[in-house]
Amino acid sequence: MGSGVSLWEKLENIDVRIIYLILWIVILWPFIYPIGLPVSIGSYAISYAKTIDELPPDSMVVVSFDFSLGSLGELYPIVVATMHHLFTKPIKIAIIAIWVDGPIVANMVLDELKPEAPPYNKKYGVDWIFLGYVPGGETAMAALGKDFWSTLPLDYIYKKPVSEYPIMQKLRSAADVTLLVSFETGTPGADEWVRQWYVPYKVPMIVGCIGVMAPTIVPYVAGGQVKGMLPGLRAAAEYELIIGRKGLGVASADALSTSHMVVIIFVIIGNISYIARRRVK
Amino acid sequence: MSVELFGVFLGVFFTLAIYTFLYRENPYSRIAEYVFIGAATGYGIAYDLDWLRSQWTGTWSKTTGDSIAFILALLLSLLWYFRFSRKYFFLYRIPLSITVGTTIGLALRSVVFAQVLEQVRATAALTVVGVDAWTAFNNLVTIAIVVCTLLYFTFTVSQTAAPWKPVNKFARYSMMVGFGSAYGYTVLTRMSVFIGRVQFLLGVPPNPVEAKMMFPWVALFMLATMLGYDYYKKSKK
Amino acid sequence: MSWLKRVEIPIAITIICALIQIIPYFVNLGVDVENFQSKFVSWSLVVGTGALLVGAISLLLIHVPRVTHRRQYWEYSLLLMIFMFIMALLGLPISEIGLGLRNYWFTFLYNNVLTPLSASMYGIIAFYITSAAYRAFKARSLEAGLLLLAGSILVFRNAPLGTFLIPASADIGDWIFNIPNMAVNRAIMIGGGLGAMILGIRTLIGYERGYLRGGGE
Repeated sequence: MGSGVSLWEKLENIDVRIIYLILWIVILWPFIYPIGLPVSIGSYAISYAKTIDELPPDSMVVVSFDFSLGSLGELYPIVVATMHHLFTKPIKIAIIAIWVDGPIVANMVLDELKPEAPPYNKKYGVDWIFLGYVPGGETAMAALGKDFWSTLPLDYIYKKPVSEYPIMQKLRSAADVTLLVSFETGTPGADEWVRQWYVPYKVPMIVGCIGVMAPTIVPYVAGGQVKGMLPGLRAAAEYELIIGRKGLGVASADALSTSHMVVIIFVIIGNISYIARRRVK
Repeated sequence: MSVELFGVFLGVFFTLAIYTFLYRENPYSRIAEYVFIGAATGYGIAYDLDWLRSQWTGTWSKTTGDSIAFILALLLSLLWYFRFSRKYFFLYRIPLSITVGTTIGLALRSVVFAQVLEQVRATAALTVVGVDAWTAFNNLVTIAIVVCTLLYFTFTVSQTAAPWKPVNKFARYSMMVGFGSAYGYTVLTRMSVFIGRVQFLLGVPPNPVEAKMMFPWVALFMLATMLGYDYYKKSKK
Repeated sequence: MSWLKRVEIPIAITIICALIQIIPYFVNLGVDVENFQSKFVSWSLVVGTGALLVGAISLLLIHVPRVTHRRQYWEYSLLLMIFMFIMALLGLPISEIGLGLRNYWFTFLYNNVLTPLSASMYGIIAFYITSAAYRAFKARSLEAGLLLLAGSILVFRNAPLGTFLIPASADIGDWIFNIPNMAVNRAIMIGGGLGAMILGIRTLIGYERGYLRGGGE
């Protein structure tokens, strides 16, 4: 009996670095020896993809990078898949950023997808435009909603007045926007967009967000203020399968499985040792 | 070594330097932390200055009135820096109150619609009659949880009467289920972010493949130096 | 000059700026007032952005004495300041001399230094959450057990292996997410919205002065 108690105590007081090492191994392993498990598709990914598919031609879509680089691993697959999906549609796209890290990620995505080249063949200034970062959080959202031209007067890439671009003749305020796509990691984010764009202008919105934010955004989805949500890396993998472009989301599926199973196993072991020690006491 | 290759090396180095903190605090992780703070601050300054310049060029330099307003805004924004003065600290409150007042005004005018009325309407619109049994059950559960949770946080009345007990109990249990759901998604986020870094270290496309070659060598070097230093300190004792 | 120190002045400014946004939103006062209100928002953004150096100065106030007096970790403080100045200088919006956001070295540093550091900082939390799952996530009571159970179901649901092994876990997990979780967060959102309204009104009538404190007070 005494050695049983000490075993549970030893387990409970294990050096944390062993736990860290186990996590390193279970995440590295599937990249070296892939398992290739199927990913079942959920309703959120379906409705997110459907919202983009149902955009009428010549729709004006504003894509906002409300993005911290800290969430790159989780949101980048969502961003790439969404931008790919949008660039395949006959719509107009204006890219903005409310977070200071946003332009970095936008540049990364544009360098990877190259919208001016095949298969997209989009013309800058006609089909899409990169307007850049505007500081000020919720105040910036309100300012953009009222007047895009004065809030972001120059484009990000060529630093030319936005009034010179054909696409901007159709984008003066939020009232001209068919769909807002926001990639989010926190505040300012969905709450502020709903307050400043949905309430006054009724702009439909979809959100690609980190998993942590999903529980706080789901009331907006249920209430109809947000039309669709893609919560986290698992949903990114599902979305990639729907649009037929496998990327980092699907590549992460095995590592997601192993890491999550390790957490479950640790929770079970931790609780078994806790219950065993309580029984002995 | 080409500049691009050096860039990949820096990425691998700084990524692993952060994770050496898991072993213990060490010079690599300290370098990474301090460089991050400095670089992030400088980066933020650059972007804000760029936006200010584009505002002047594109919006405020067009008419005399606008130009004067812009210069006035810049002069007022200089008052932010009195934050560092004990004697003239009160001047810092002026630009602060402009910013806070505008933000409060923008938020206050729509928060009641966005976060209160729409959510109450969505809850009230849930029906338990005329729908199938499963939908009716879900709607009933939703209404019950929303009402009980709101009552749980109502502190303006005393909650000692007998009917409060089951209400509070139900609310607490519901909140635990809700927070458990939040925990599940928190695990997803944190693992996903780390998986992203591992993909970079292993050169999974579109990450640079050179990272895969550098990763084991840089990791071994850092581990060897830290373990070697610990061994040296131990043997000195 | 002493009248400037009165706290009523910034409170009055706060109230006026807030009312400039609120009144035209609910009362139609004409196009000119609406344009002024819209212009005022953009103007206040310029005022707010002027604080861009406050963070840098705060850092310098800490790290410059550390370097000059050779206190502990002064070398790291020097490194911090070097990177701060390099990024700020390279990113200065003077494209006429090749500086700015498109400057090669500025983009090099933010791609190869800032991006890996920022992404890795948040990734380290995965390890802490795993060790916490092992050491701290215990069913010590019914409520803790409920939290544990719901959390474990969602963790299982989010893993492709979980939904592969037990397909029903997807439905159960989705139900937990869409019904109890949504309802709880809706209630919290309503309560939070009411609280935000009260806080805003209290600020507008001058009762809330917390944002004005600090510094020499």
